[in-house]
Amino acid sequence: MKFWRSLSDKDAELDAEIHAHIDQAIRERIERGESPNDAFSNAMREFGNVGLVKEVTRSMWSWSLLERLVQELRFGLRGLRKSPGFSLVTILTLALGIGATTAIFSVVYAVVLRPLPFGDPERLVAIWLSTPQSDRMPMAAAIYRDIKDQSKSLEDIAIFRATANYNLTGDGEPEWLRGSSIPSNLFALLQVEPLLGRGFTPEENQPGNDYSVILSYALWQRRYGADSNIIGKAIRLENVPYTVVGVMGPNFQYPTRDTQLWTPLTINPADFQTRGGFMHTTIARLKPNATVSQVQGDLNIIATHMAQQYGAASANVRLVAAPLREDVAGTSTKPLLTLLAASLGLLLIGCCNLANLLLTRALNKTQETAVRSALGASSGQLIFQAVAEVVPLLFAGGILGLVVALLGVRLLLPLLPTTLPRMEEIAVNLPAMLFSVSLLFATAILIMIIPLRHMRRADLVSSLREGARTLTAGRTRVRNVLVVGQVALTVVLLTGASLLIRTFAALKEVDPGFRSHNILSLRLAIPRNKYKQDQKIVTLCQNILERVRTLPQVEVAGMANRLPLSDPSGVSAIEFERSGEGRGFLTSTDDTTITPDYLRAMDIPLLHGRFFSEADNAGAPLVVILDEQVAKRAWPGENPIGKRVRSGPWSPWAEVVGVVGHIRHENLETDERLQIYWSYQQRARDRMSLVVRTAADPHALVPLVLNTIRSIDPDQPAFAIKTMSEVIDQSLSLRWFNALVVSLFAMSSLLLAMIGIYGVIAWNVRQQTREIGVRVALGANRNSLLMMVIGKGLKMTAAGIGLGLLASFVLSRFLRSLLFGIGQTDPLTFVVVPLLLLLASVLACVIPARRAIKVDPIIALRYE
Amino acid sequence: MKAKRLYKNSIELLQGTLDLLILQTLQWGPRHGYGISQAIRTGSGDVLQVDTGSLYPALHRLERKKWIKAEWIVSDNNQRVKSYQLTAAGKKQLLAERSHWDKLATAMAGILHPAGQGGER
Repeated sequence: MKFWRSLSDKDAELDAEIHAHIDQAIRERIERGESPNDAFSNAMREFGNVGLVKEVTRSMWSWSLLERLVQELRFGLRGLRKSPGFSLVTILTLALGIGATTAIFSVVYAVVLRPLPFGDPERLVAIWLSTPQSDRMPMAAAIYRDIKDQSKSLEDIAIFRATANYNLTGDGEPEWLRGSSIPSNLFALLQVEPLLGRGFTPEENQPGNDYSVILSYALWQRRYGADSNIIGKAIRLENVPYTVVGVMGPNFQYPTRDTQLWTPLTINPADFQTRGGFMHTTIARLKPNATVSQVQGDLNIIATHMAQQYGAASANVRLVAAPLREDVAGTSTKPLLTLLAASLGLLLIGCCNLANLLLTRALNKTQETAVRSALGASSGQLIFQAVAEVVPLLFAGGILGLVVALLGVRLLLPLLPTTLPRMEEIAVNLPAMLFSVSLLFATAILIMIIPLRHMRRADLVSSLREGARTLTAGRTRVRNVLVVGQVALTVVLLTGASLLIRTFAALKEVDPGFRSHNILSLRLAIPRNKYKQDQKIVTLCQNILERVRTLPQVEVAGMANRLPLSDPSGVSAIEFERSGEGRGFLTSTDDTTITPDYLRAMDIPLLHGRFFSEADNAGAPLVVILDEQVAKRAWPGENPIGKRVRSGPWSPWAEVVGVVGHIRHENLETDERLQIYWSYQQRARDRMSLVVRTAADPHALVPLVLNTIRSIDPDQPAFAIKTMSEVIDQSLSLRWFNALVVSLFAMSSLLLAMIGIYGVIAWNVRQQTREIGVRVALGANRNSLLMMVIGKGLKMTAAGIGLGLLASFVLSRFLRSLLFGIGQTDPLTFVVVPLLLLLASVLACVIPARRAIKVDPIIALRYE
Repeated sequence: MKAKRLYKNSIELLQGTLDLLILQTLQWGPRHGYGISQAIRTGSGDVLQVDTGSLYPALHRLERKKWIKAEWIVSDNNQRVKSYQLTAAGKKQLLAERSHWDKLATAMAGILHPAGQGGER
C-alpha cells in the first residue's frame, strides 16, 4: 500500500514541479511584456513535450521498472477484458495442460516411480523362478540357500511367505487379517525399524517358538486404539495366543498395502532336502557397488549348477532378478505409463494451442505494435509490454491449473483400482506441476518475444502501410504448422483412447465361462485349530450351505476354495493315463476343491458325465471333474469319462466323472489355464468361499447370510463380500480407468484442436476479407466461397490426420500388450478417428466460413 | 531509450557536463528547476540552453544519488515550488567534477591550440 501511495505521490509531485516551471516561465514572459496568450504558448513550446519529459524523468526513479510493470499489467488486463473469449480459452488451455498432466503424473509417480520407503531402496531386488510353465514361480527354501551361499554380489537375502493370513478372534468381531511370515533379517535388509518394540529374533524363526506377532500401524490404531502398552500382550490368531513384540510405523506396508500383521517365518527343515515348498517370496540387498545385472549373472551360474546337480527337473528353471521398485509396481506400470504418455501428449497439445492463441493475438496487434514502435518504443519496451500482457493470463491459468490438479487427484483416487500398490502415497506432485507450468509459461513468453525480436524497421513501415499482411505471412505458416501438429497429436491420443475403449468393450463381452449376474461370493477362512479333522470342515460347510439354502431368494449355494478372477492360479500339474501310449502330463492346472452345487451355482455347464454328489465322500472312490480343455488335450477325440488322472507320482489315481465348460480363471484376456475340480469331502480345504446364486439383487441377502454363519459359529469370520459382477469389474478396473482417462484426454485435445483450427481459419477469413469481397462483388457463388474457406481448414486437418495416423501406427505397437480382441491396427479405430477429426474441423470452420459468405463487398473493399 | 537519447543528443553538452552545471549553479544557494535553467542560460550568455527533457531527468538522477536534495517551499510569488540544494556529498562531487573538467579543458585547449599557434589568438 505504502509503495502505491508513494508512487502516486511522486507522480503528483512531478506534475506540480512541471506546472510550477511553466507557471514561472509564463509569469516572467508576461513581466517582459508578452501578451498572456503568447506567453503561454511560448512557454509551452519552450518547455517541449510535457508527457515525454515526465516519462524520461520518471525513468530516473529507481522503482520505475516496477511502476512500468504495474502500468503494463493494468494495460494488459484492460486488453484481456476486451477479448474475454481469447482470455478464457487461454486460461482453460493452461489449466487443463497443467492440471491434468500434474494429476496423472502424481499418480504414476506415487505408484511406479517414487522410491520405496526403505533405506537405500535402489539396492533392493526381487528374485524369482521362471519356468516354461510359469513366468513367475515362488522360491523354494533349498534354492534360496543355494543363492545365499553362492551369490557374490548380494549383501543380504531373505525369503518370506508373502501371504500368511489369520483369523483374529477375541476382543471384538472375528476378523480375517492379511498377514505375512517373515524371517528375522527382513527388517535389517529393508533398513526399517519398528515404531514400538522389536523385530523378530532368529530364535523366533524356529518351528514351535514362533508364536510372536508384529502389528501394522493401521491394525494397532484401529483394533487396539494405539495402545502404547500393547507390547508383551497376547492376541488370538487361529485360536492360539501370539505375543505382540512390535508395532510397525505407518509407512511400512510390505509386501502389500493391506498387510496387517507379521509372524515369524518357520521353514520346515525337510524343505531344504526335498527342494519342495515353492511358496516363498525372495528379496535381496545388493552389495554397495553391485548392479542388478551382476546379480543376474550370479543367478545364471547358480541356475546352471542347479541343472547339473538336480538334473532334468531343474533344467529349464531360470532365476530372475529385478529392482524391487519395479516389482512392487508390478503389472500396473505399463498402463500407468501409457496414461503418463497421454498426459504428456495433452501437455504438448496445450503448448501448441497456447502458442497458436498468442500468435493470433500478436497478429491482431501487429499494427498497434508497429505504431508503438514508430512512436519510439524501444524493442525492450515492446517485449516488456508483450510479456506484461500475458502475465495475468499465465497467473490465472497457473492458479486454475493447481486447482484442477488438486481436484484431479481427488477425483482420480476413487476411480483408481483399489488393487493399485502404494495408493496412500498419492499426493499432488510439486515437481511435476512445476515442470508443466514452466513448459507452458516458457512457450507463452517465447511466443510473445521471438516475433518482436525479429521486427525490423522495414517491417514496421510495410506493416503500417499495408496492414498486417506482409509481416504475417511467415507467422501464418508457423501457425499452420502448429495446427497440423496439434491435429496429429490429437489423432494419436484419439487412436489410443479408441483402442483402449474397444479393448475394454471387447473384454466386457468376453464370456468368462461362468455366470456373474446375481451371484454373491464371500470368503470363509476356517480355522484349522478349531476344525482339526477334514470331516469337521466338511460338516461346517454342510451346515452353512444347508442353512443358506433356506434363505429367501436363494436358488443354489456352493463352495470352492478358489474363485475365478480373484484367487491366484495354482502351480500344479496332472498326470493322465492314455490308452496304449503310456502317460501324459499337463502343466499350469488349477486344482479347485468344490462342493457338489458349486458348478451349478456358477452356471458352469456340464458337458459329459455328472457333477459331484454328497456320496463322493472320503470313503468313496476318488473322483475328479475336468474342464473341456483338459479333456480335449489329454484324450483328443475320446470319451474322457472313466479315464484316470492324478496330481503327481505321490497321489492316488482319480476317476474322471464329469467334464464341464472352461472358465477364465486368471484374467478375461487369454486364459488357457486348465481347471481341475475335486470333491470337498475327498480333498478338504480350509480357505473356502461361499457362492450363492439368488433370484434377485444379491446385496439384500448379505446380512442374512452373515447372520446365518455367525449363528453356526460366532467366531467364524466372513469377508471379501462381493457379487461376481463386482469381481469381474474389479478385474477390469485398471483398464476401465485407463480407457476413461485417455478418453478424457483425447476429448480435451479434440476440443483444443478445434479451437486451434478455428483460430487459424477465422484469422485467414479476416485476412481475406477484401479478396472475398471482390469475389462476391464479381458474383461468386456463396456456396463455393463456403467451400473455399472450409477447404482450407480441411487441408490443414488432412495433413495433421495423415501425420497423426502415421505416428499412431508406429506408437500403437507399444500399446499392443494392453490390447485385447482387436488388432493394433483396428480398422474401426483407424476409420472413425479421422472421420471424427474431419467432422470436428468442419465444425470449427463453419463459424468463420459463415462470416466469410456474409461479407458485404462494399465494407470489405473499404476494410483495412 | 531512443527517446531519451534523442534529448541527450540535442544538448550539445558533453556527457556529465549538465550534472556539473547544475551542481555549480546550486553552489550559490537553493533553486528550483526553472531557476536553474535560467541561471545556466544567463550565466552562459544565452549560449547554453538546457532542455527540460534533460534537466528534470538530471535533477531526479542527482537527487537519487543524494548529491542534491529537494524540498517544497513557497516562492516569492507565493507559489509552491520544488527547491533543490547541494548536499555535503554534492559539494564533494562538485569539487571532483570541476577539477576533472579543468583537466579536460586544459587538455582540450592544448590539443586545439598548440603552443606554436597560440600567438594568433
